[in-house]
Amino acid sequence: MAQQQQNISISAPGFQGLNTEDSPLQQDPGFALEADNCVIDRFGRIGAREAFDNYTNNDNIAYVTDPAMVTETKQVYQLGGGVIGTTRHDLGILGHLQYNGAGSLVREDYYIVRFNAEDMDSVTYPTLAVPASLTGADIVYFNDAIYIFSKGNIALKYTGTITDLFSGTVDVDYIPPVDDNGIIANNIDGNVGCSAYGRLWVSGVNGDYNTIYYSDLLIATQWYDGRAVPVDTQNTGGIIDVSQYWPNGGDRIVSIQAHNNFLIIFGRQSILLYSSVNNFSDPADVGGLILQDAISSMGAVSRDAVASIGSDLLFVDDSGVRSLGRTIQEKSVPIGDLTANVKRDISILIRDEPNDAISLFYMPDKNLVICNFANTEQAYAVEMRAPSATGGQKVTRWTNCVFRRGMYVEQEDNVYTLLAGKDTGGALWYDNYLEWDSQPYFMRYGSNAFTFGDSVRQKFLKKIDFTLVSTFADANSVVKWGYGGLLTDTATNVVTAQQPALYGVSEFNEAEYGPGLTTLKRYRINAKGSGDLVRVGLETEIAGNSLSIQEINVQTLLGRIY
Amino acid sequence: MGLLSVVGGIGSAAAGLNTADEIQGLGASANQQMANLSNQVKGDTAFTGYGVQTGLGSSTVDAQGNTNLGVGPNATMQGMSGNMMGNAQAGFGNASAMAGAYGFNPAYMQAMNAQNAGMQGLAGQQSGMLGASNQAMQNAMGDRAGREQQVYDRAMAMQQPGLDAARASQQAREFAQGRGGVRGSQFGGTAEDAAMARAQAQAQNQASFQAMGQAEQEMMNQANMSNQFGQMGQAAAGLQGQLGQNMGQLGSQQAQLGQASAGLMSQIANQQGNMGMNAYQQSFLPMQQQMQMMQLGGQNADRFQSGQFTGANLGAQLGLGGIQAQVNAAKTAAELEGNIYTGAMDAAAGMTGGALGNVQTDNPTINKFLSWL
Repeated sequence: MAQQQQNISISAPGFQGLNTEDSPLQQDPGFALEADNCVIDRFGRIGAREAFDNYTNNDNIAYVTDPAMVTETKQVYQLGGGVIGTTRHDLGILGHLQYNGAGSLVREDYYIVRFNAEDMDSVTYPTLAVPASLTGADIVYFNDAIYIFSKGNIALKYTGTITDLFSGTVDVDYIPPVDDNGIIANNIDGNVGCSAYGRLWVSGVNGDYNTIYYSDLLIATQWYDGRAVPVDTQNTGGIIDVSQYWPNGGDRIVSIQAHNNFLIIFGRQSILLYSSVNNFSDPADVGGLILQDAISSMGAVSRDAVASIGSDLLFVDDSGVRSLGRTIQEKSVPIGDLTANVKRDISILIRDEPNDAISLFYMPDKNLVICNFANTEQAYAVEMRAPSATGGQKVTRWTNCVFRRGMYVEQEDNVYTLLAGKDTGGALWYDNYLEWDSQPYFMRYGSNAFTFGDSVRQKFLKKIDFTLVSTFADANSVVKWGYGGLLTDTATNVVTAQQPALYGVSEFNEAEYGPGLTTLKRYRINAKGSGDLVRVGLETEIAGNSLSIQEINVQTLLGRIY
Repeated sequence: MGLLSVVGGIGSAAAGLNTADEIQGLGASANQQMANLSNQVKGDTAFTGYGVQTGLGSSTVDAQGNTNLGVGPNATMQGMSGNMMGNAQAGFGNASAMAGAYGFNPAYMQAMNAQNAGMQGLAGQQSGMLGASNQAMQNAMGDRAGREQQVYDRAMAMQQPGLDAARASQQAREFAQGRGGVRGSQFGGTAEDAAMARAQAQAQNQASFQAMGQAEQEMMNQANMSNQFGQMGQAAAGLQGQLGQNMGQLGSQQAQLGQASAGLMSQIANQQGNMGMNAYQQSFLPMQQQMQMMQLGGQNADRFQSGQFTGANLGAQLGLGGIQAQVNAAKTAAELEGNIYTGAMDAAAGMTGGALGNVQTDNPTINKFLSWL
């Protein structure tokens, strides 16, 4: 006797993001086991991320080609920028590495470049002691200028052109860190910088990552003057030695951040929070710096693995992306763990990835925090609007992340996210749905294993309906399903683009409207096979099209108890 | 001249020689007579001594002038004199004893001992006081800067625990606030460090000024002490002087007493001595009187002697005149004789002329002379 099919509807599948930590059987169907190149769209659905599109279209750098060069890479290592006067300046560090046929490096050139619209131009800079250190440079915007701090090199000041920060005559044009015993540091040659509270804060000077040198108020050329009679009696520059305050007994400064009237010093395994009653008007004065808190067993894996989201400060710890605000407030590790749903996966990634390849940046317009792993070219995208049912943020995974750093730029009526492209011909930006190389990337969704409430009976999948939102272009997709926790069966499908109705778009002063079709479309796939645990999934290529999964309906027959 | 002249001359000479020989003989005779006369006069004028005989005694002066007064001192008187002198000696002894007896006056000695002890004590005190005064003066004039440093060091040493505690508290507070490693250009370190440094500097300044004041005060105290000690030393010296004066007065009084007693005794002794001396002098009064008598006897003897001298003188003059007359006669005779001979010879010489060599006379001289011819 024929059995009635049972329909199981999965609304907004995967909108809770990935969850590889909890038992699949106990999970909300909103969690996904696979969510590659996905984001949570504005309607709470899981959808395809946007593309890493070319920002630089005109590479105007006069590269020097080595005769022995067989292969070459042109990577943008760092990004930074600011508004000088009224003009936005986006700078980057570009490395041009040339290799011979044996794969040996035969020439390396490092450029400080400016990304201006579609152009990438080189900016001349003074001779540096260690040009390769520019790859780890910290580009800091401070008081109408951009400063470039790199390890072992003189600090550079960019105001359209680049000069040595300490150029001219000592005590006249600049004051290096000095006391009655002499000059402490001839250069601010650290590579951990921060611009906050009207000062520059730099660590790594003289290779010392337990000391922070901070500049005079709004004067980048005046630093600590501990002489009995300072040259500038108004100088409030100074030095902070934090070596005695690491809660674990010792650490090194990885990153310096400012947030909520705190100066936050990230160590590799600990965090120091300095507050100031006098708003850092003079950190050494009474009411200046006060160590508010010291957090142990938690720190930033790298200088750029820290991002401020305005209301909070996020950082990448060995265990994932953490929220400093929550950590301070709750004094507990799990609650502040934004990537708790993928904790083990991301921990393994963090462990295996070189630290300087890990970075964190925030895209407010997308409500996304991206934890990028440049070496393996993947990232975890953390949805910041609302946490998932587990308390952790909704997380998806991105692939094809051919960039090293990301920088969100807000400029008047223009906002964009600049990406430091890896051999992509310059900078990328997060925009549209067509990758820089016009190659499609794949949005993959894979559900958890469902029992449909009856874990002891076999399920026979008959049909799988996907309600998708797709626009702009048709795309090939693969519907996947399987039993026993695997997606073993597939069926191809073409997702057709649904042009949305356009309102207010006129042509020739005549109102014009689109066909008014809904962007939603249901695609039905006939399935087969049987098993106890059912998984379904969808893989769609993205090449100029957008895609979101509205709903999944599974029609199945229930079999005998096995 | 002719040979006869010579012979006459020779003859004359020989006659002259012969006369001379006679005159010599006469001279010798006269001499002998003179000697005899002298011996006689000597005997006649010789002192023969004299004697004086009184009721006191018999005094003699022998021919050699040896005088025997024959009267000695009055033994009785001398005995009295001896007694008196003995008494006087005893009186002087008593005077000395009296003088000495006051030197050993027990009260005087006690007073002197007491005052000597006082002197010694005062001397010790004076020495001590003056030594202390000198020491205090040296202290007052000593190394003020060094003393200031000592006081400063002590003050800072006293403050050091507090400063250490404050610094430790400051460091602990800074560490608790995480500000231990903060250094600012305005303060070198933190403001608290600067405040602490300022406080310490103020404390050091205060201690420094206190040390200066303290040292100055101490030196003034030392100077005052020196002054006081000096005054005490001077007072002791004054007391010593007073005691000395007292002792001097006592000594003087004692000496005066001794002198008075000795004076009395010596007066007595002196009187006795005078009496003895008088007695002694009077004991020689018989001898004096005897000697006066001897003067008288001497005058008489002189008279006697003068008579002797006069007689002898007269006799000698007479004898000498006789001798002179004899000589003169002889001389005249001789001269006459000579003239005769001369004439004779001149005549003979004229006659014989040169054949007188073998002529012999009784006068050897003439013979001799003739032989030469």
